[in-house]
Amino acid sequence: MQNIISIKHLFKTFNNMPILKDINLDIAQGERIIITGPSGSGKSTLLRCLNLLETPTEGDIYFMGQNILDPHCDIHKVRQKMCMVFQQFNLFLNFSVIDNITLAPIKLLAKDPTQARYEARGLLERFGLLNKAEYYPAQLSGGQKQRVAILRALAMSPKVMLFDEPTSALDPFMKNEVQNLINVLGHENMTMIIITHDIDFAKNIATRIFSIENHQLIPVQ
Amino acid sequence: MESFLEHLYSSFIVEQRYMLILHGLFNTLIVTLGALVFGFVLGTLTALIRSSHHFSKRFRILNICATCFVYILRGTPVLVQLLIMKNVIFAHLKCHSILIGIFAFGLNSSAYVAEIIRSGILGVDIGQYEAGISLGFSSAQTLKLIVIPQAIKNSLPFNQRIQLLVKRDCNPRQYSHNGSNTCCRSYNVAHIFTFGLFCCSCNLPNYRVYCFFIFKQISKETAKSTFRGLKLCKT
Repeated sequence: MQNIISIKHLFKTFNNMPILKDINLDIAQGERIIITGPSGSGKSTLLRCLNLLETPTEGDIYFMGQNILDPHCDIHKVRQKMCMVFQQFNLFLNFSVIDNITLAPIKLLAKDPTQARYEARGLLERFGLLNKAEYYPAQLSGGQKQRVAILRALAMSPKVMLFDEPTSALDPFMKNEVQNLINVLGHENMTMIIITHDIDFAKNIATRIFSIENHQLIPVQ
Repeated sequence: MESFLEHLYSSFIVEQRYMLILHGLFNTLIVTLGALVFGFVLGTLTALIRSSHHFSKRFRILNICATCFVYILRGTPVLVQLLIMKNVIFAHLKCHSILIGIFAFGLNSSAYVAEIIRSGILGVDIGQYEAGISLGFSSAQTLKLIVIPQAIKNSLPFNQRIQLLVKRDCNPRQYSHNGSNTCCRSYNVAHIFTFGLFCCSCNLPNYRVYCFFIFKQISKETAKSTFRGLKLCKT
């Protein structure tokens, strides 16, 4: 099976300080990759390099056979297929929940607004948030915000989802809500790369677990 | 000693002197509105150039020009700029002094408006921009759809620029056209100190009070998307 993501000899430095050294990783369709490690080890940097929120210093990243570091590559199209969920949710504060979810499909995928709202309401209903559709992010709890952030990414029908410590800002109850949602996605064969410190969650969902130590990616048995 | 009523009569009624104040008020409002529109448009354009460079590192040359523009205009007194406009740039052009005033005050205001709007844009959490980018929006789309609408709320204090434009209308004397404060100087000195300046300083109508209430209402409406705003607004 062709790898959906291939990372070849990835290096990243900030002000001549190495953050990532010679990272190599192949990810197949449907895999759930957990990346763990101490704070400041470069986990988020690796994830941000995958969708070019950070530009690697050296190396290649292939997504569906295309080198995303190639200047001719349309990175916006790549990002539409590789959506990211952030630790701090980053919901659009000036849009309601349903507008947060439908904004990108309408503007980028040229979906009919009525169809996009219908599909968004379906997602919200499926994950118990339909009554929050017209609420603004400021009115939601942390767990609700993170679930809306995941649904916002899901609405783009991505091939890969990147999770940057999705539950670290949440209390245990809200953490369960979000982890249950991610579990559902995992069972639906979504390719995911998740940064987390929660080992129990990682064991439940992961196909492979890695740790970043000394700026390198080490597989964990 | 003249009585109060005699002062009132001689300050406003004799020779229809009240018309001078009304004329000055009208000119003040014209210059203010014109400078406001011109300053807002130019200031917004400058702010967008500088903000775009901050987010996407594009328009480097334009950014340098915009930065110089802002720092020079903010660093020189508005009176100096007005004198340069009147006596140097427009010296040989047959240009109405109202237009010179609009251009000069507008140019000066644009520098401050640019900084206010730019700080509003940069005051939006960087996560909003990253979230837009990570969904596949371009930098321009992210700024247009997500960042700038939020930045507008942060930039509402630019209403203070409107009030400053009105207050500074005393300078029109330098380009020899009557603003509302300047009109007072046409009076006899005794009248100025006894009555004329007192009336003008009351700012009839009081634009600052009107500006305050207008922008308070705008702030309440735009605050509906924030949690604190929801407590204030009866939704």
